[in-house]
Amino acid sequence: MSLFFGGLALGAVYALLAIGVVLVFRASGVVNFAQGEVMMVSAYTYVFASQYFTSPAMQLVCALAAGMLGGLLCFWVAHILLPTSTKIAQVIGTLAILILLQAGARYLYTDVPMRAEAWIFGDRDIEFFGTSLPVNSVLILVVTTVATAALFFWQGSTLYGRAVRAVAEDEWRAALCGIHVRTTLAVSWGVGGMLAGIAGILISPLIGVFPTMGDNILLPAFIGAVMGGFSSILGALIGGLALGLIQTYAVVTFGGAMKEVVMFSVFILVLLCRPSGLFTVQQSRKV
Amino acid sequence: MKHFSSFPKFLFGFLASISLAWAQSVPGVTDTEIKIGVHLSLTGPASFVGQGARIGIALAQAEINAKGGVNGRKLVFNFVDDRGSPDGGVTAVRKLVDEENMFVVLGAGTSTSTVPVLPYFERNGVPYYVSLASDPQVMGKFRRNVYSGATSTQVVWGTAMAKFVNDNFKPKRVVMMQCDQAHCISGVPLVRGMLQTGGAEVTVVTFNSGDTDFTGQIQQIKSANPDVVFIYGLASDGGRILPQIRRAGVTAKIVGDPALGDPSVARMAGAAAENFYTFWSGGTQFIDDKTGPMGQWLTALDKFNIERPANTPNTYSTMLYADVYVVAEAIRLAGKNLTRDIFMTNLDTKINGFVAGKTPAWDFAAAVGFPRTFTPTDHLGNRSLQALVSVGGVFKPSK
Repeated sequence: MSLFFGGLALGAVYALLAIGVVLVFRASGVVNFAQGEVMMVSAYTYVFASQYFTSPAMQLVCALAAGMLGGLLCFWVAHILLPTSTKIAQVIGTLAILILLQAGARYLYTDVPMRAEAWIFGDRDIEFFGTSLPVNSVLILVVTTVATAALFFWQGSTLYGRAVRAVAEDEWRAALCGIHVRTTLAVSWGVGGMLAGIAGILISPLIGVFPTMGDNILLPAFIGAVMGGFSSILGALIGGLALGLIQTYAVVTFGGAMKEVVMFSVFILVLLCRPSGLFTVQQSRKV
Repeated sequence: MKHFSSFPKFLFGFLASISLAWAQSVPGVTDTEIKIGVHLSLTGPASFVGQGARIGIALAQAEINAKGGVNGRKLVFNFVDDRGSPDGGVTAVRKLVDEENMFVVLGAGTSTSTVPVLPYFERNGVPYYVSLASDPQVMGKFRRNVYSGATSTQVVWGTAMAKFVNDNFKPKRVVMMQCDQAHCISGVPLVRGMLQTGGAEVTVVTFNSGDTDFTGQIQQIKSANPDVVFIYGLASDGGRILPQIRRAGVTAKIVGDPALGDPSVARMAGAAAENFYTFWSGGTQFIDDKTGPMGQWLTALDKFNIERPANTPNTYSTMLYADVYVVAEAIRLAGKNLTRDIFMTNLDTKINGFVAGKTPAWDFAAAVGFPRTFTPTDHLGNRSLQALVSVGGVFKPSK
């Protein structure tokens, strides 16, 4: 049971990043490779905020603000600095941010991981469905579920959320309806960054904070997103959770060194059997 | 008569030209400086090794050059990042030897970047002084121009570590966590065999250096119900693994290989590092001891204003500091007529129990590190290993 929840907790962090990537991709058609680095910046912010503020709310606000600023930085590069460029140029722009943020963090703090204290509940176990689990793992699962539900509510039930979906579907028609496309895009990138900020807070007490922490998480997050269809938030959530479980059980079954092999094998299998992803509804078109 | 009077001048000029040409013919050596190449991992998962090593080298260089250098020649170090990877190591040493003509190359990289460059040095004969790599292949085959300084081999270390575990904990079941770094792949089978000889049942679980989640491995540890968990990895791995193991309720003794004998492990793991055992080959004093020679060493860092990135100095800083003085001593003993051959002969025959700070020529240096001894047939300079235990967030010597 603890193995199952451990895998789910790991997958939940992948899912948070994957959802952020999918959200931005749906809105703008750009794959944000710097999402992991936005998470890293948020994690560093959380560590430093913890030294100044004892209130978990303030720590959360600081990390979310850093995540949002990171997301807006990516937006600025992709849509303001490179407005008329092709999508691939915009993607490369996010890669440039990845390199800059990582190199900057390495210069300032070296690759030695920095310790982060657990958010809210500290480092202890709780009884959960009859098994003893680290409270931080349960927190990750709960926060990811709440964040995803909030995202669904925002996109489905609020005017601004619907505007984001409208821009994602067709920028030109959305503009004709009076929606300010650029602002709406900025909101999507900002919310994507905030999701990375939440992931940074939740994962940093478990793994420490270091410049390449985003790399280690983003690749499985991407795979989770692709497995889920890359355009579905629910797909990204389930894909991320599934990947966490696959990795964890692969370690027990085949050994830690085989973890990546199993992960990529499953990924290739999914691509071969269902290239559009596991959770994408096939749409028919009248011709 | 005129011919006879000009002959001494001619002879002097001739000899001066010859000696000048000779001096210029020794790669990396001029009348004013000696160039020493260093390959080290400044980036990548093992970058804390290189970042720390560079501090030790910088301090030794500053101290030596402040006293006028070695025999009037300043020491100049060229650092090349090997990224802790095999291809990075090969590229780095080729740059240092083929392009920059270093007199000697100091190997401050991990085993992963050091082992692949050994055939290259075997072919070209350039002195290669390895400080940190402990893979058996470094000293497994005798090479005239390859030396091992601060670290020992996995065989020597493995024997000492297995003896420590067997004598102190008398374990019935041991789980060894093995990462994918070269020193882990070579070291774990050796220690495993020695622990099994001591009567323990040993289970090996694997992980990749840089991994962030160890849920699966911890499940395997719990299933094995060990008395001792022995971690073979990098310091950054240890800092992540320790809290996760303790959080999972594993109460077994936890021991780490010398790569985990670094202050960053205790800093990162916090309370989970309490009573964590590890080892280091940097001497009888650990790096956070502010007394004696180590205190002098730490003060010197401030005195010479040595730039220290976050989480440094570390274990590797003192190791390289001591090794730079070993190299400097072999250069000093050569006098003005320095050649690579004389340098290596000096290492072979005159470095016997050498610790800088305990000899008149280097009395200004801090006497940190275990003594180094080389012979013409044995280039393993250090065989000592100090057991440490983490108490109250700092490492103390353990019996």
